Parts: sequence; structure tokens; C-alpha cells
Amino acid sequence: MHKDEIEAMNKMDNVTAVQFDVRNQTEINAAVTFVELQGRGLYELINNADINVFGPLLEVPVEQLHYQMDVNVYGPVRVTQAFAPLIIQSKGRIVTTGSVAGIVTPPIFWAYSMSKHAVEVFNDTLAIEMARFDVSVHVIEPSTYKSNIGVAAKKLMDDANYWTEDTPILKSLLICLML
Amino acid sequence: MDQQLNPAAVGTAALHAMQSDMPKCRYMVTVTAAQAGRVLRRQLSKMLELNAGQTHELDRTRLIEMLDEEIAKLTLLQ
Repeated sequence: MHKDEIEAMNKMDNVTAVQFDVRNQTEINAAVTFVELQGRGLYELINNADINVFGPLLEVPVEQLHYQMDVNVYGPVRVTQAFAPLIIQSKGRIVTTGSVAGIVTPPIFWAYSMSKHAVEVFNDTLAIEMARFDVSVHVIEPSTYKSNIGVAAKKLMDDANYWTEDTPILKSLLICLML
Repeated sequence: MDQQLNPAAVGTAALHAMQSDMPKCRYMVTVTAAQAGRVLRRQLSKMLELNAGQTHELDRTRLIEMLDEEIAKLTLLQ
């Protein structure tokens, strides 16, 4: 999140923004400590952070796939494990952002789709485990709504110099989509 | 912003999951009816692909019965 977005959230009634990287266990643990120190418990956990790596399966570097899974799959696992004691204590709820790409598999977006299929497993497993604690578990499956995820995905590929490499399959797929 | 692309619908689903007395396990929120249709049809086609030719293949009558049973379960939950 940008600094101005954090400041805007902090201006809302009863809202305190805490920013952390879902890939960083130390930052996650610090966020848990921060919430505990507030002394008001925690009722809701929303796993919403995600990114989108795209490109043909035969061309996307494995490092990009690691990044995709690190944020979209291991992120919710880390965050949920860390905050679970607080949620169990309040008999609260956990909501995770999945995607219709976790049910169908759009071409080019296979890495994202793979991560969102994993989110389905995460959600189903968590629901079973949390039922005995009276914690309910839910997943939201949006389709192609407007968000910044596409901009961020392009930046990721730009930063990796993806477009300057020899990527014939991606180019042919993009041409097919344009036709 | 094109109202159809307005992500407020996603927020509304999340709010329901967080606040409703009867929250659902899954909330599919699609921009168009065609998208929703494609997702559901793919689920059906996967089910049929799994069933076709397997040792204990179910016939159409049993598949329809199972669909009705699942609809009844969902109705009870709502």
C-alpha cells in the first residue's frame, strides 16, 4: 500500500492500519504482537493480498512462479497460522480472496490460476480444521473486476525484462487474443 | 468507471461473509452472466469427465438425483 493510503485509513474511525509483507514472517509476527497489545482481540481475518504472474507455461521463469505462490498461497498460510489463536479466541471468521480462476483455468494466467486453485484447497482444509473452534471460513471468488493487479503484473514482468526475451508462445497467444 | 467492472460487488460479498448470520462458504462474484455460466459449466463438464468410463460410472438418472440431493442440502442451510 502507498503511504497516502495508509494515512487515509488511519483517518477513519476505529481504524488503525498496520502494513506487513505476507512473505515476511518477522513482519507478520510483529503485526500479531501489535494487535495483541491493543487488547481488543481480533474477530475477522481477511486474506486479500495477491499478485498475478502471467505468460505461457513454457515461458514463465520458475522464479516468477515461486513469487506467485509465495504471495498468493504461502502468504495466506503464514498469516492465518499467525493470527489463528486470536481468531479462535473470539470464535471469529476468516475470509480469503480466491478467484473464478481457482475453478476454471484461463490461458496465459495459468500461474495465477494455479495459485487460486491452491487457495481453494487452503480454504476447504481450513474450514474443516476451524469448525471445532466455531470459527467460520469463507472464500470470495471474483472474476474480472477492476483492480491494480494487472498494472502490478505488468511491472513485475517489466522488472524481470520478460518482454525483451525470446517469448514466441506469448507473442503468438497475444496475437490470437487480439484477433 | 464502467459500473460492471466496479469492484464494489466484491466488497459486498466480503461484507456478507463477515457480517451475515448465515454466511456462505463460497461467494462467486462475476462481472457478467456469461462468466458465471462458463464457470458453472466447466464444473459440470469436469464432473462428467470424471464419471465417463470409470469402473463405477453413474448413469444420468443417478447424476440428476445427486444434483437434487445437493440442492436440497443447500436449501436447508439457507
